[in-house]
Amino acid sequence: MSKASKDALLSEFCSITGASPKDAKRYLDKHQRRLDAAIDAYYQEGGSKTTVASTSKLNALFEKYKDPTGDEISIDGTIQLCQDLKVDPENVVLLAVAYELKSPRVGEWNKKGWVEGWSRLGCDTVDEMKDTLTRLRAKLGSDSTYFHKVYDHTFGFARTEGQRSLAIDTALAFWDLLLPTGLTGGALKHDLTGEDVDMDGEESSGWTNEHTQWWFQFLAEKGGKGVSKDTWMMLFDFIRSIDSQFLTHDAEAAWPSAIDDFVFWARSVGKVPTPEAT
Amino acid sequence: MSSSTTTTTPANVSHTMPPASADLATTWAFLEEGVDHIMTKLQTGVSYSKYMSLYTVAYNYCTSSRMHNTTTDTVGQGSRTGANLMGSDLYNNLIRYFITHLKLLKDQSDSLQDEALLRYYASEWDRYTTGANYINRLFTYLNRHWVKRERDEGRKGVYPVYTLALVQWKSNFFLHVQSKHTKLAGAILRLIERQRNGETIDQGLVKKVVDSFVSLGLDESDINKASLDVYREHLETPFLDATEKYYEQESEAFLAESSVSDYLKKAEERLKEEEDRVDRYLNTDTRKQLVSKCEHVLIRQHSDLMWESFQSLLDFDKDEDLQRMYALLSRIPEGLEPLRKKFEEHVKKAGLAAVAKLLGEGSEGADSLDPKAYVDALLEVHRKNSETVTRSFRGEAGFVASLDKACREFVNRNSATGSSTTKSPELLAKHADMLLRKNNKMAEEEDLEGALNRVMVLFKYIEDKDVFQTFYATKLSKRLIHGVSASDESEASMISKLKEACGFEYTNKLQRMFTDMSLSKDLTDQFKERMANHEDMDINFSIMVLGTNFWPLSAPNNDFIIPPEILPTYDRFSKYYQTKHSGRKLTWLWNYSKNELRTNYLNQKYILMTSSYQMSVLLQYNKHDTLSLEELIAATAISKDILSQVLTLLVKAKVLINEETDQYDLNPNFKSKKIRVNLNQPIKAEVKAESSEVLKTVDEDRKYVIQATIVRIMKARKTMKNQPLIQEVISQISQRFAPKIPDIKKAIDTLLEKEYIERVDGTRDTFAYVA
Repeated sequence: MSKASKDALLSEFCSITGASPKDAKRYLDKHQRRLDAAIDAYYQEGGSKTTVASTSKLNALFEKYKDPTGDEISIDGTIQLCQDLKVDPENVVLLAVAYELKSPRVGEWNKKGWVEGWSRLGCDTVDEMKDTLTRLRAKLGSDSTYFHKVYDHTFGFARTEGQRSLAIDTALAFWDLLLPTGLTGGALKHDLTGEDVDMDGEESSGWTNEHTQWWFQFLAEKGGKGVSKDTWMMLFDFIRSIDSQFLTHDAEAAWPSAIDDFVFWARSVGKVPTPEAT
Repeated sequence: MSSSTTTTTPANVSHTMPPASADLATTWAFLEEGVDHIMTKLQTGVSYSKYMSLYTVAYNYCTSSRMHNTTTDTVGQGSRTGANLMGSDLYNNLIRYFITHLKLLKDQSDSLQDEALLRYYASEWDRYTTGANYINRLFTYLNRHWVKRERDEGRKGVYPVYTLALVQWKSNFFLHVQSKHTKLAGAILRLIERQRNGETIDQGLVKKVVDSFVSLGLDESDINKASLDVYREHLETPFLDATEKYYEQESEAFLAESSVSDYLKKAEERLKEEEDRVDRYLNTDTRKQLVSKCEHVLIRQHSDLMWESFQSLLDFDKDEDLQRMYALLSRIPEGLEPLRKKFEEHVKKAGLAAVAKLLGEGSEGADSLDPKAYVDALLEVHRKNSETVTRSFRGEAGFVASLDKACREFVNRNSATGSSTTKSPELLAKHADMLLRKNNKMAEEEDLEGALNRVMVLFKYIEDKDVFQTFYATKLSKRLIHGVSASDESEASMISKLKEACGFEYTNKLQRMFTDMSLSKDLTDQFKERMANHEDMDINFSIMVLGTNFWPLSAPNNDFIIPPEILPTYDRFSKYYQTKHSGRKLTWLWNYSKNELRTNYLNQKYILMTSSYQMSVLLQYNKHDTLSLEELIAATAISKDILSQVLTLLVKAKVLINEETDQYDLNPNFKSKKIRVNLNQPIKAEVKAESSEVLKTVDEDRKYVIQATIVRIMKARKTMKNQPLIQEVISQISQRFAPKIPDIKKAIDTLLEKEYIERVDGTRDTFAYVA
């Protein structure tokens, strides 16, 4: 069995049971990688025998990366950690990790978040963390609810302390990480629940990477000072609900003005058709 | 009873009263002769004794059985049975009599038609009912006892004698006549039709016959109650059908060759006629149905045509026809709605056309539109159509609403305003300003008051009342500062009108401006008094101290060196004011001040009326005869572009001479026809800046008004959905101006950002107030 399919099995087990990868591996190994049997066994045993990540190990790891002059892991420690985890510091998965470990700002990890976060994820070694990262990356791309949580956390995480809104450049950089991930993995796919499904073929696809580029272009031209929290938050909903031609956009609905303006801009520059006045 | 003792001779049986013990045949023979006399030749008279004897015989017969049976043991049962028998004997004989009597009428009527039939019917009816009335009284005892008991026991078909007579009439005569192609009702309907065609008919006859239809109605459950069933079945229903047919034909035919105007008259007359008809000879119960039938045929069926012709009546001011059409269509449900819509459209078009015409006349275009001409044009359209509403539509609320809606539309949006919502309030405020200025041409006080009232007519329709408010305040401040207001009374009158229309808050600032003016007057007087003993106070000085928050004035943003000539006054007043109101900051608005300078460098002494800038320039020439632009800038600190405009005016007035570039000399040969020379004219840039300045203020104010409104609503409601919130904001603000949805949404954005409100978790469109 290939490494990839093993990982897929592992992550499926985790997402079904919510067990840690460590437990997942244990059960899957024990049941010859038969998923149903492993899950059965897991529930039979009440999942109680989950191995608890060792707080002392995590403490030790924290000390390893900690800024020698402070109480937290800072930029240098983060870079070191990334190297050890074999992950690019600009990889989107770190936003999920930041969410899990309650990191308040870029390159800033406190001990409480570190220990509790990793414990909850069930890992206490760098290798286990590497596995977890793979799992989180997959989950981030595909699980809408999870993506939404990470997305929301990212606003505060990315924001300069004391600022209400996000500088345009910063916002663009983080959207550039998050949006393609969600769009590719399906977490941002068009949410049709509660809507009349009345679209055909290609046009029903909703928001695509192309739209993201429009959004960026719009913000660069007309974005003003920054991106408010409301605009950041509501963009998630907008992406998931709007059709690719913006035909269903209602300027009187509760969208932030920035989004209304974006739609008008897209119409005015001919990216999407202007609906006939009624 | 004496009669019971008299003996009678058998030979005379029909004329002599039978004894109480007489049998049925004898008794009835006597009674029948009397009954017949009463029924057929009452006019020959019935003597009292005859009547009494008939009455007594009927009474005796009814009670005789009781006397026979008093000796038997079975008192109760026996007497009842006996009384039953006795009563029914008489009753049945009466029925037989009526049938015979009516058979005769039936036969005689068979050959009669139409009016002759009606006459015969009516006269027989009269005789029959009169007679039956007497008979009824004759048989009072029978009615009271036997008939009553039978009815009490629930027997059907037994009636008091009079009712019995009617029932018999109906079944033996009336129904018979009617059965021959409804001969009777037909005769009536034909008479009515002749009347409709314009002939004179005997209405009394018709009424008599119709009344008989009503009398023949019988409510079986309560015979004392009137019942219209016979009337309805035999007359009303066919009458209504005939009416419908008649007017269907008539109106079609009439419209085929006459105008709608004539038809309106015709329909109006016909409706009145039919209502009269009910009063004259029909039962009032028919009114409602008849009227509604006529309304249906005469109005509803031609309502499309009326609606269509409405426009041309409006176009040609056909007041009377409009009145008629209104009156007719108001009678049918929904009849007026299309008129109201058309009227609204008509008024709107008239308004737009009036403005377009105005623009066409003046070659200047919308930018330099004369406020008075504009306001007059709008008012004229309103006046004309308002009169139409009052005169032709009786001031009906629906038409008033249409007028208002149309006026609101064309007052705020027309070819002069374009897409700007601020143009109309601006022009209206400017017009009001001109009215309230001293030099306006309205000589009479009343004219002015009337003109102000007319301003209010349009004001009511202005959507952006805040724009009007701001322009009005700006204009008012100018009037007050420059002392060019026509009169305090008129100013106060206008403000009270605005207050009445928009509330205290709307005019608060305006009223404060007047307070400031009068306080300033007092202040000037007090200051003068205090300074009276200063020997160097040869400068006549007056001051206006105006509250920053209430006056739409802005301090100059350029420097200004106060000329030494007036500096002592300036210092003294500043000190005086500080001692009076310590802590208040005085900002000197040189750009609004004015001065009067006396010349003494010329043979003729002139008084130059100047602005402060002009004054500061001219005062430099106390020491110099010629100055360069640079020197003047240095001496006054007035910015170069404003100073050049000041100088241009002075040069134009020939007070200064500008022969070399940037070199200004005092003109030693200045001459003027007037002693008082007004040099103080507004600088162009200032005039132009005014409008855009005002609009900027309005825009800023609006943002806060919208935000404050949202906060107020959210504070009261705690949570609210986006749509209702927007609606509520619009409805609360629309008194002042019409807020645009994107502006409301921007205000929501701002409040979200400032965390006055937040989105409720898990919803996209619900907001919550953050306490």
